[in-house]
Amino acid sequence: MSLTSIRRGALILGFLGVSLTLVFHWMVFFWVSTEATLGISQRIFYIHVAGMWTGLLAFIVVAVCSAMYLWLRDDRLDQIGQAAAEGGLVFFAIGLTAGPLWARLAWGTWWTWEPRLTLSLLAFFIYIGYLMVRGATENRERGKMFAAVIGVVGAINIPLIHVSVLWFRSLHPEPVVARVEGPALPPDMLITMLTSVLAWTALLFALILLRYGAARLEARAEERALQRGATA
Amino acid sequence: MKVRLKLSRLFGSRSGTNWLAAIVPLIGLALIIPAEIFAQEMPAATRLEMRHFWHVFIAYALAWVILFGWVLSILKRLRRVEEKLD
Repeated sequence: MSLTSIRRGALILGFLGVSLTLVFHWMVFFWVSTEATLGISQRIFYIHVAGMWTGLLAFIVVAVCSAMYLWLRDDRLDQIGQAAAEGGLVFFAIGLTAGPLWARLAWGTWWTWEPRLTLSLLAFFIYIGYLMVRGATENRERGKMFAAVIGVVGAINIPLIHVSVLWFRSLHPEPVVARVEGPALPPDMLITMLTSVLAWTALLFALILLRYGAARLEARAEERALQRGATA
Repeated sequence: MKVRLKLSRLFGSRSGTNWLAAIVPLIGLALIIPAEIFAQEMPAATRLEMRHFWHVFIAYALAWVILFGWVLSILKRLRRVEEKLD
């Protein structure tokens, strides 16, 4: 993938992401009906779910790229994995900050150590570790390898986050969309939620592409510096 | 400089930064003082509704701050590396 096509892809996805984000904000504040029990605070749901979903999707990209990096040892896979981990942390941070703001009003507490919340926080720390471990070794290749191992092992946590509300009795509600019986949301809420998820998914991939492009340029700059050092 | 002069005319102060010195602490106070203090005279239901609005506002504002933070960090990184390559 050339740098021009990366830039073009980021631009198209970015435009789509920003446009859909504007649409979903309009839907959230002017179109969707207010939930009867939770009131206006239920509108936090749309960024909470979109943030968590996008974050988890990014962590799946990290896992796939990490596994492929361990197999092929291609630096580009490591760069995509790193970009996805950053993106995952950003969107997960949005989900993790929106969640307690909603929980305070819905449950009466900011945070509780119940399975889904604990596993989500664990995932957040796993991917902070994924980024930190690169700089922890003097040998850069070894750092990338350690990170890839964390990326693969950390993926075990992803399905656990989803099934934790089904396996354990917890305060967090069960899934309302990804259910065998079909979504349990009213149509307008479902459309708003799906638009928010789609918007941030497009935005995530646009920013991953942009971050990956920056990493490719950094690698090129390093190569040039090394060549200059060798000729001098 | 032009902006400072215009602002000083607008707010009637000699220095363009004086108005800023007055407004910034006010914004800080508005952010620090909890909404409940302002809402003391309101009925309980309205106060609760105001609290819901605050939480929605903070959640969306934080989301945008976090997202823009990442976008800015990428753009800064791109600018730095492009300068290095030039």
